[in-house]
Amino acid sequence: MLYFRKILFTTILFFGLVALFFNGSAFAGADKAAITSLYEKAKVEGKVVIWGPQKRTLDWMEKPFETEFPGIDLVWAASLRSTTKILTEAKAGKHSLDVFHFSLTAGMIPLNKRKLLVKAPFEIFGTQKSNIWLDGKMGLTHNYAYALIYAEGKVNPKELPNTWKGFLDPKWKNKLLASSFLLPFAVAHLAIEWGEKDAADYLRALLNKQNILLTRQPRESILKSGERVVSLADLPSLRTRYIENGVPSGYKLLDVIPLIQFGVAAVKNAPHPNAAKLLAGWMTSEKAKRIREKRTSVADLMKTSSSPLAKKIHSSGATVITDIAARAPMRGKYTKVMRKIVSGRAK
Amino acid sequence: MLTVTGLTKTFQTSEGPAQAVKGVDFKISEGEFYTLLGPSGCGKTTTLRCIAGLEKPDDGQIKIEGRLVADPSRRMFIPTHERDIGMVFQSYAIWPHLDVFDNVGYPLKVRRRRQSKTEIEDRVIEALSLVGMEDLAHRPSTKLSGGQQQRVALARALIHRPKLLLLDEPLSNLDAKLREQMRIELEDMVSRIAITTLYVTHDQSEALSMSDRIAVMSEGLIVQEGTPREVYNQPNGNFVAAFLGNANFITAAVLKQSPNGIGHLKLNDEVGQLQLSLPDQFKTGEIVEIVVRPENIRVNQIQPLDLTNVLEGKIERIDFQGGQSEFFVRVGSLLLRSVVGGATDATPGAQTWLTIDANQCAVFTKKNIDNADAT
Amino acid sequence: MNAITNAVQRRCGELGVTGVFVLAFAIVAAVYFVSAPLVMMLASAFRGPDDLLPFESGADWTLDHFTEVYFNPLLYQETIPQTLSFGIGAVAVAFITAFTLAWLVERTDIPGRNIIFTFILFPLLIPTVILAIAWIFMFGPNAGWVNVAIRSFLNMDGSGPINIFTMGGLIVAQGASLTPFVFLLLAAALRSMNPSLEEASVASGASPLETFFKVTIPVLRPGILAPLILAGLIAIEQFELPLIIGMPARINVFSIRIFFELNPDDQLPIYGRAAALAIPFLFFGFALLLLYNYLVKQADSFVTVTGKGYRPARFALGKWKWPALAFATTYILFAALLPALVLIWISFFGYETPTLANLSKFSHSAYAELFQEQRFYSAVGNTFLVATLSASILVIIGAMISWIVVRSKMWGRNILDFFSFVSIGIPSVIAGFAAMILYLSIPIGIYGTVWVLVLAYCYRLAVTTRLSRAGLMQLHRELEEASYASGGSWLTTIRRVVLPLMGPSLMASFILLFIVGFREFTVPLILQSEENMVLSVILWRLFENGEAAKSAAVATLIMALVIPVIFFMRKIFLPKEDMR
Repeated sequence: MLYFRKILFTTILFFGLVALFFNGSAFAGADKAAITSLYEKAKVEGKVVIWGPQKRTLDWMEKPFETEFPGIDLVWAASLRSTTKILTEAKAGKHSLDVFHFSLTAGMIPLNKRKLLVKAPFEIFGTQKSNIWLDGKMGLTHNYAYALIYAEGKVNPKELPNTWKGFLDPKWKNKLLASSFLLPFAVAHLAIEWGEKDAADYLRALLNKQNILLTRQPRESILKSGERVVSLADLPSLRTRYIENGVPSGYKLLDVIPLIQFGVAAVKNAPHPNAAKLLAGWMTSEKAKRIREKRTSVADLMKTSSSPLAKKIHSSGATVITDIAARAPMRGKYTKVMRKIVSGRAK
Repeated sequence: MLTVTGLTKTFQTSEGPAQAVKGVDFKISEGEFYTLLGPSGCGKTTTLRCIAGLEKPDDGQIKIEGRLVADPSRRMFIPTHERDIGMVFQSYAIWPHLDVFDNVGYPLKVRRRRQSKTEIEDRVIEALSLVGMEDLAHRPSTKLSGGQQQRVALARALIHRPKLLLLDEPLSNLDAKLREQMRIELEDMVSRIAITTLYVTHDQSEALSMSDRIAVMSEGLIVQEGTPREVYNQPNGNFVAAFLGNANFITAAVLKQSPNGIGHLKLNDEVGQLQLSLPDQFKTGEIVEIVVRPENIRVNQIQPLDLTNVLEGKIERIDFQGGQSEFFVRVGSLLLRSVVGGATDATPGAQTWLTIDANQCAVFTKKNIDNADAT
Repeated sequence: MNAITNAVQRRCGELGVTGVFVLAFAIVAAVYFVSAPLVMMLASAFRGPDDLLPFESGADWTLDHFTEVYFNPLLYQETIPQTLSFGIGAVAVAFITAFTLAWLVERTDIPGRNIIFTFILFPLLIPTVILAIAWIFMFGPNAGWVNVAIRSFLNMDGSGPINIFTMGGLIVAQGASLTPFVFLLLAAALRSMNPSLEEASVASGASPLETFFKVTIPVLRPGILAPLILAGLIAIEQFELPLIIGMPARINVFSIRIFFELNPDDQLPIYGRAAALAIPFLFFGFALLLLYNYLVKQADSFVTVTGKGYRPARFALGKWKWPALAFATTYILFAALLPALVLIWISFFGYETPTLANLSKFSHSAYAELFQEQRFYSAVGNTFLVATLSASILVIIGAMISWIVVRSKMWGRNILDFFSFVSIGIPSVIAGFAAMILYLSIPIGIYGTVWVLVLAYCYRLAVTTRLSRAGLMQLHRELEEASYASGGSWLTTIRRVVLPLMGPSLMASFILLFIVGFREFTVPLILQSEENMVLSVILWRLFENGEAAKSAAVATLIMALVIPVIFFMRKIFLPKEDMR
């Protein structure tokens, strides 16, 4: 009897620890009281304004947030130039947004440098400490992973190489395409792993030998027509959108998986400071993340995430390169080099 | 030399088709200066352009020196550059990108018979001297005055010695003084060269002074053709009479016809009688219109002895015009105009007797009056 | 002539208080609209470092941008030669196409002239981005529909034969998109020629062909070269086609370089380097504009007022009718109709290939969703408002400036004239950025509203001054002088005599500016806020968001909204056929 009880106890403990490990936030527990008190203060303000890079990053949250916190009108605005706008407005003494939702390096770090972000109570929503960066000001929300997307029916997935360098094989000449913005960025990440020279050579080979098609137009249209069949350095989360647009496609993870980090922060001098903190905090909660993943196929891909794609990434054996602030300068340097090659400013 | 038969031309305008020329016939003999005279819109320029080949006639025939150049019924049309003509345009059409020399020499450079440079040069200078522009041979054409442009245009039209010279209102863009001067020069030159010329104008004094014959046009048709004197002194209707110079119009009824061709005419209002030579066709009782020019009415301050063709009236107004004096005399319901050279000591309000020069009257029937009015 | 000049000079002194005020306002406005972006650009080029915006504290004067850009050998080995061949090639293509079409429409009896004229203008309606995508659909080397058709017809393998992703493809594409604009200007030039110049030539014995080369072309030359220079400047400034077609072909022209600096997407835009790139561009543009100015003056002196209303003769095409029609139809098909059809197809079918089998996949959900969005309707309203207002302001100011330049003897009017042209040399991104900083700094709270767009659009002064100037030159001074003699003040004369008589050219400016304003997207993209959303921005956002059908739907609706304007345009640009 004692033996079985021991086993039962150990098993429960084991599963409890596992559950704890994988669902830390659920057990760390959202501080419901704190959330409600913050909500009361935010409700008085009645509105919250959030800026982000693109529509799809923002529009999904309007209804869920307003349902969870009635009485607060969520207004979103999308522009890839949000950072510049915020800085320009700040210079003129104007402050029109409450919450900023952008990538770490293109948005959060520049604003933080200029002391334009304030701390927000992410923890009360159950967010883990490890997912709160920039000295408590930025909460992690989601990631993009660099992999590839291929056109279903036009290429046999079994024939796809497992590595980035595998695509330098002559049989892939004239078959590849990539976004002119994403590719140099992805290769800059690869440079962290391979070194600058190796990565630059790789990029040059893709451009000059493999004749990879660089484009700014919707890549799925090129996949659909069959003009090219593999979109390298593409984001698996986009696959859903391609399929919605009538382009059956699949994705494949490769030997190195760079991750781009996105986060959220409350802005200094926000017109609705409490609502700002409420929204920013909520966006980092498990619930919000799940809604985002369900609606947009975009998820938190860090190790702590419960997203299936995150699990797949971290169990694939690939080298995962996370987007941490410490690496940002080095990556920035590599990005400059790679972009120069892509934009013709260097050979 | 130039024969035009039944020329007809209709244009499509936004308000529907408009017949500009309705069947025009005339002949010009070699060396003749022939003028198409009429108000704007009468079809004279269109006729000229058809002869030039710049318009395709809808009907009719055009022959230059016996050669048929246009005949729509036979689908015959010789393009402009193959008709041996010279043309001066109303706007002169001097090419702005060429200087005077090249403008004038152009016809020699484009014709199929190529000529040597020196020959061209000689002939250009010759043509320019003809118009008095030899000093300005290398002036850019954008720097020419109106009169200079006109001369260059003329030189250009004549340099290749065409058979037919066409002039489309060449003087109308010049100011009055220059116009007169150019007219004299033009007349001079044309008579010297003795080139067959077709001239289009709305200015009757130009037409009268320059032409061998005039065709008065109105609304697409030739209303009267004749020498300047003929059309001036014997207009065949109100239109021609009124268009050329000033005219007094007197309505009268035929009293009787004498066998010697003299007709007695009773003026309306019983203001008097006139005895003029009348052609036979006028019948007794017919209403006619008499046209007499102001210069053919003499103003007498004393009643003359012979009262034939004398009308009594009262001077209403006298205009002194420098070289002449114009009298406005009230005779019954008529206001007759008379012109006298120099100054006069007559005064308005005075009684006067007007002597009508019977030989210088034109008479036409009411039918002509009506027709003339209708055209 | 002296009497007239004296009279005009006196007139200027008698402008009256209102007159002086109005003119002064026009001058200030013109200078302001043009110089704000210019100053912005010049200043930013010398401000660094990269990770700070030019106006931020910590930014300092530096020559780093210049050294980085101009000490890079690749600039001279690749960028400049590529830009030159691209620009010259595109202009050549545009010229050949536009001149042939203008000649056919204005000087021959080609049947269906009115329809052809209307359709030639079509590409003006379609956003360039969409044109590019449509052409890629048709001419992509591997899967382009035309290539597929040719290959199956000729039993060929592999890819091609037409590869749009080459310098040649880019040149043809840019040329085709420039053609409508060049066509309009050339057609106007052809129409303005005094017909008796050609008639005098044939009367002098030259055949029609000789006349064409010896008289027509030389007289028209300045009137033809001027639009070409303008087209060249526009070709080099635009980046949409080099971005979408050129980049896959690894062509990096100047405009793309500037685009890259402004859209790094992983850091702040480097306005300084973009400005450093743009500055010599500006000087080059100035030089070309000087030449343009000279040609325009020469063209004007070649034009004589006929007054009789005759139009130049139309040549009968005879058996050449068929090749001519084929040429016109081919252009219209590839530059206008097919892209428009591709657009409409995508809006209903997404990226499905146009086959009969796929017809079942029809869906109007894109339109349905659009029409349900409040944003869409306010965008339509905003677009019309901004386009109409900015076009109106520019037309009036342009007319005032033209009057000053053509009629008055005011000191510095040539500088003013040049100023108005200079605006063509300003890349639209710089104008947008300048507007943003400017209106944020000014305490008037128009930033983020529709009004800031209206003002920001007004930097395109060049178009309107050229057209209204041409119109003014054809207006006899005496018409104005008669008004003064009748007791009209200067302002009254302008209002009641000059402006009404300049009607046609003013209308032409307005329509061109309206269409440009409708399509403008770089500036509103930079200045966008929730309140001033315009259709082109919505289109771009949908496009970047990957919502193909919806962005195609917006593009289709833009087309539909502007088509009536084009038909109206015809009435202005094609005068009634009179005596000929």
